[in-house]
Amino acid sequence: MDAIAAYDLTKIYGGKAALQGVNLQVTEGGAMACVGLEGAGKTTLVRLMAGLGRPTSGECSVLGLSPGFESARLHGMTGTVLQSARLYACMSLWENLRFFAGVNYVPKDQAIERISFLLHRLNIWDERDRTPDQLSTGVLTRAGLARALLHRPRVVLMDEQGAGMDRESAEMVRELLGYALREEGITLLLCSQHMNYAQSICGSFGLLHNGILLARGTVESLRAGGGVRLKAALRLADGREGPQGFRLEEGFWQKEISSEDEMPQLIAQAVGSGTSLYEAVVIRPTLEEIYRAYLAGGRRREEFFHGETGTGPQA
Amino acid sequence: MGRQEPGRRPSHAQKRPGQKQGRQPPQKRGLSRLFSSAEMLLVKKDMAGIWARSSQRALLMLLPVTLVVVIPAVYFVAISLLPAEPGAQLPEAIVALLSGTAEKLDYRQGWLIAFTDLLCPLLFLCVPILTAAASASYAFVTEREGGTLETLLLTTMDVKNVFNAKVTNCTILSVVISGAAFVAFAITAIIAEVFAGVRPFFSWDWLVILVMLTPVLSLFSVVFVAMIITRVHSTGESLQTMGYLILPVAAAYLAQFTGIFRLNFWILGLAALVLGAAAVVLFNMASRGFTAEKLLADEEREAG
Repeated sequence: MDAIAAYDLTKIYGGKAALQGVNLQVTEGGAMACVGLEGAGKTTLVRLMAGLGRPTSGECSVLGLSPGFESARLHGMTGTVLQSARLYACMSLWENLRFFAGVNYVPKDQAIERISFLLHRLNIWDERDRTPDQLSTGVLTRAGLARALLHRPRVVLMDEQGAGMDRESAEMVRELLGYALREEGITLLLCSQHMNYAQSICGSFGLLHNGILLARGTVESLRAGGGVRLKAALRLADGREGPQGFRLEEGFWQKEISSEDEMPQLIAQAVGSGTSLYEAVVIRPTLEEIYRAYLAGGRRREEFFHGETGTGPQA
Repeated sequence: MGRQEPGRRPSHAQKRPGQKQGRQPPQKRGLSRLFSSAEMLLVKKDMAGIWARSSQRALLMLLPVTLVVVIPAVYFVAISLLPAEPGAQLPEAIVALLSGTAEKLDYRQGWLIAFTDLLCPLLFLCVPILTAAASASYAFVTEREGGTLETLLLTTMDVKNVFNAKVTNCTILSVVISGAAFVAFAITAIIAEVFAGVRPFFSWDWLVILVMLTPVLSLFSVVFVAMIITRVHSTGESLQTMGYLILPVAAAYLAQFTGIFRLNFWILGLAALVLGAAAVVLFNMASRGFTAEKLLADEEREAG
């Protein structure tokens, strides 16, 4: 069953499309990251899924509910982390979490237990008596995740995680999300422009640009779909010339390959030619490199179809 | 999958058999019939939040004290210092407004009665308006400004329940402050009356003001501020709306002192009924406009 789904989802603000015909599905227990640059439509996507807005056209559903129409029911089953959503300045972190547990109808004893667990797990227990203005951005981000997980949601929607976070906070958030995915069986939709961060948490990805979902899938399928090739990298003894077709980059002789199945043959060739081979690795492109390849491909296609003079391919 | 008509529930988003419901509001029982536990928490949080802000606290305390204690006290002292020459009389227009009650009184007593009967009710009516508008500015606009309204809209509370809880909280707060302000005014006025040797100020007019007009004006002012929440961008801007709300009271004050009419029992009662009806209409309009999409329109546009 798809826990999160969007069909031809479109949102238009003042004549400008923030999302255009987005289709995506996240199966229950899955973790998907929608990545993109600023203005790609990530926040709009999370807001629509969280019921903070209604689509201009198309549909979306979370756990079988329509977010824009059944938001209160939905919020009982989802936890949403938005960058713009803040904690109350007049209350300490502990009081804030107690308040949000209360308005989410979490019984008092369960709330205390859950808040203690989350604060310890996120390593911010010692900060519990501080007010939000006394907390760093990283601690506030962790607190935001704690708030979203208070009522043990089945779906977690996160926007722009990674921004402004220190290394420890990023690690803590990643660790807690991993726990929630493994042990609590949550479904995660993470929208972020920090692609390496998203890649470290999720297994499938959507590439958003200017409101359009360029592609979706695993890193491997996106790499293949985007025509981004792997690289074979060989480290040879100093001063030795690399095999034919290889170029020296950062101390490794590198060559683009179509699949890792080519590696044994390349290694055999290198060894057979009498070269001292110390190391052989397959360099896989990062999500960010794949995303940039899709953007470049899109631009090339646009230029091909529209050109500078606006003429088509016949021209 | 066909395109969805905006504003219509999508066809596929149907409840599945055995679908887990998530955390839902418990059944309301006993005293909590009026409010759910979440609404009560929100009311308490808003009360504490308003009280925690020194500027808000000062506004809610100083305004009533100035209007119903300081101004009347200054006026009473000034009246007691008036040179009471033999045969000095109140202006005819004022005597006419007091409908015969001033005839048996001396000059100072006449002015005191004129003040407590004609001006003090209007000063007092500013209290529910100003305190309601000030507390509603905090509860609605400051919360939106601070980004916490968005967090609140992500909870299990229905957006209408958030609206109801906030309106109720601000109205109750305004009525309570107005009640305390009336007690403070009564003490000030009674001391002055005892010294001046005149009858107590309390009348049927005051009863209507206290029982009918104060709650209705509080509700009207709160709902008015709640209605403009999507149009203002700061707490300061929303506080300026107090000017619009005070305008009718100032007009009534002018009309009364120029002799057009006197605010009596019947006029006050009628005003309370009309304002009550208007408050209900405004409440429904504001409640309909209180949606996540409208409240967070600016943030959404930025996100888009």
